Amino acid sequence: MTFFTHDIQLLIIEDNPGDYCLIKEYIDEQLRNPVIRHVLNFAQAKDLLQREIQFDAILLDLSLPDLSGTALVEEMIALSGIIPIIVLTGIVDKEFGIKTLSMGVLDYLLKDELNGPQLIRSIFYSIERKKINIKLHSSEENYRNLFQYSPQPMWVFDLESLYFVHVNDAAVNHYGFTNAEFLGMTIRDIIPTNDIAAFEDIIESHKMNLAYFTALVHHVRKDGKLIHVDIQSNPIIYNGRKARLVLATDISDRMQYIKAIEEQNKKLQEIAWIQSHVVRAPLARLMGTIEVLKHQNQDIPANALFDSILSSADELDGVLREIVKKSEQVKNNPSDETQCSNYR
Amino acid sequence: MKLNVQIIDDDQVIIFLHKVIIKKSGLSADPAIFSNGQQALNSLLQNFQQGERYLIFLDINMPVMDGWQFLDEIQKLPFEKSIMVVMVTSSIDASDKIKAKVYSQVIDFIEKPLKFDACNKLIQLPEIAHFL
Repeated sequence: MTFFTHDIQLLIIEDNPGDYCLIKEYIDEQLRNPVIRHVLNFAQAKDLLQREIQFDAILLDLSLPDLSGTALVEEMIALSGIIPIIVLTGIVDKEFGIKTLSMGVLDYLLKDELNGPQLIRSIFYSIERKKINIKLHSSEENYRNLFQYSPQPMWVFDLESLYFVHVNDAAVNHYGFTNAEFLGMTIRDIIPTNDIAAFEDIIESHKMNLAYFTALVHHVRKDGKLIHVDIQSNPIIYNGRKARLVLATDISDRMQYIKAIEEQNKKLQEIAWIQSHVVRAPLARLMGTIEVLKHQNQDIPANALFDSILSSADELDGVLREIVKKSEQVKNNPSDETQCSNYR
Repeated sequence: MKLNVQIIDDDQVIIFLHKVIIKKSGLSADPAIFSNGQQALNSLLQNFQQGERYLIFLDINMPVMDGWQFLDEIQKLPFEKSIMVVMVTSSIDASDKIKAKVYSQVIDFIEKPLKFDACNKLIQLPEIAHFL
């Protein structure tokens, strides 16, 4: 066999000497230089596996003198780690042999029907399948981590009961509820009372059945603080039930900035209006007075014109002061930009 | 045939100045003064006589009835064709100038202050000149 770069190493756990001899013979027939370790009971196997783990596969008899059946399989699965286990069983335990597959055993072989090629095929098949399982498991774990350690709050809620069924660390940190508290709550519990009606509308409109939807909503954190949240939501099947995966982005800071900018814009527009209308009025009067002065002869009392100039200049001065005051308000905008940042 | 000249403005200094300029330029020896559109409209309704023409210097921003409301009101008069309006405003908003073009009575749009040059041009307009 050129399948392995090293000689294959097997652990055989079998208390019956006859069965062991038969198995060893099959293996020796089929493989060149196999390394076989043989133990007679669970205690020995445990001792060995806790010291060495370089086996390629484990052949396990289901009835050992010190442990057997379900308890044995469970213990062995826990001990074996990445090593595939193949169980060997008599015809009377065939049913249980099948059952062990769901417990993490890779294959079961009936001793009465055993032959060399079948045994070897099972060993290699189990080794490869175990490798694939490990890869799959690690890929699942990667995806779970992407969810769990995402810097953005995310959760899954049950579409029917509206209960949170999974929340990530960022959601726990951002909203202040513990994981256990979240799992005892429904989506309604983070919606402010005033928004419940709108939320019911979303439920009623079957929007929750959409493939994807996004919404700007309010949420209430555990400390009672209201936050603006941009929600993105996808349907998923979670543990066999209809659910939605939600990504929640807190945009309270952004909203605060927009509000501040809008207020500044309003002030600037007021200033522009004053420039166009209020400043222009006394200025026009000044210009008009000068126009009349230019064509002055003795028929107009000079005092009236001087009064006009003075009152217009005074008014202009007042307007300019008002503009300066408004400009300063734009500079030191009163809206508190730090209000929302304390939870960041 | 007679040309009645009116000044509608709420600013006393402007009224004084415009009165001087209108008199000196020869447009009118005695222009009538109203401090808002409503007063002017009442006067028109009471005093209009067949064959008379009106030249109204109209401010925009005024209390009670502003320049735009006054323009809307005179559209309803049976003698609206006998009225000519010169908009006189301290606003330099381009939008006001565009809005004024909608009204057929508006023959000029002047940014305050009213100047002798502007009055002299008005006097030369044929529809005004033949009254003087």
